[in-house]
Amino acid sequence: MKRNPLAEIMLVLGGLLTTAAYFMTFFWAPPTAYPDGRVDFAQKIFYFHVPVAEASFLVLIFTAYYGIRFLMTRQRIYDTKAKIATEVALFFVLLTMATGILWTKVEWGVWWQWEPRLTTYFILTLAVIGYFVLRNSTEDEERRAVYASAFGILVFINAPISFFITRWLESIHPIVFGGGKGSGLETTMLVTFIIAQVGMLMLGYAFYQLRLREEEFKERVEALKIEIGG
Amino acid sequence: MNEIYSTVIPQAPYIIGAYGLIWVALLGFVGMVFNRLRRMEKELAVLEESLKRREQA
Repeated sequence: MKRNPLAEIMLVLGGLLTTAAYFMTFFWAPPTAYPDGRVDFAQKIFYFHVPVAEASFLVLIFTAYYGIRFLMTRQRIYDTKAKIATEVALFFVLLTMATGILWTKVEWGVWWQWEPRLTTYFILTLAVIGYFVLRNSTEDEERRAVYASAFGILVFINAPISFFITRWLESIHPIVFGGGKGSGLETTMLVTFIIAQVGMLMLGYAFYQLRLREEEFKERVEALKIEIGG
Repeated sequence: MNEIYSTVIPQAPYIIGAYGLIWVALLGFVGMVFNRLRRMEKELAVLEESLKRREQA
């Protein structure tokens, strides 16, 4: 079972970058100050909430990609890869929801608001959970892989919808980049955000590779047990 | 200063909660996967050894 040095490098680098971003968030990047003199300390949640959200969207690309590859080739490895990508996406989706809810409570005074971004992301969360419900409810391996691949592609379609919805419909959710006048970040904030984002994507890649290695181990163990038993 | 404290203190539990959650989740994920990998590595070594002995016998 070969090790993946790139995954290990990504894990270490991702850990270092996210830790650096953590310190930069609190000791370097200033809190948002509004023209009326209000200081928005809760904005600091942004530096990790957005990177995990972006990571959840990007990892879902792999769910769809490997789903398509499976449907084209019917090779089991692609189904395994799609499943692991969705697992990593679920991890990021749950973190996005949890940190988002905490930010919403501070900024809007409520735990939840049925506005376009939150609603579409909630649908995405249910779809990702549904992917695993579907997998666990289908016993036949071939059918499970076909259904999951098709459903994985549908799950991915939610990602760009949820990302762009605040640009298409009126929404109270902030648009930090490309939201017109007043949007964007000052340099120290932007650098902190980019470091957190890159670190989180590296961690996402490392998590995916680690889980893939675990699946390979599991398959090898099962095969050996059958060989010894038979 | 009073204004800063009056903003920061009520918001602090949510910010600490968000950051704490992310770190616990990231470390938990890595810890769990490494733990399972180590266990499986041991199991695999035992199974391979057992298969080798069987082939030699």
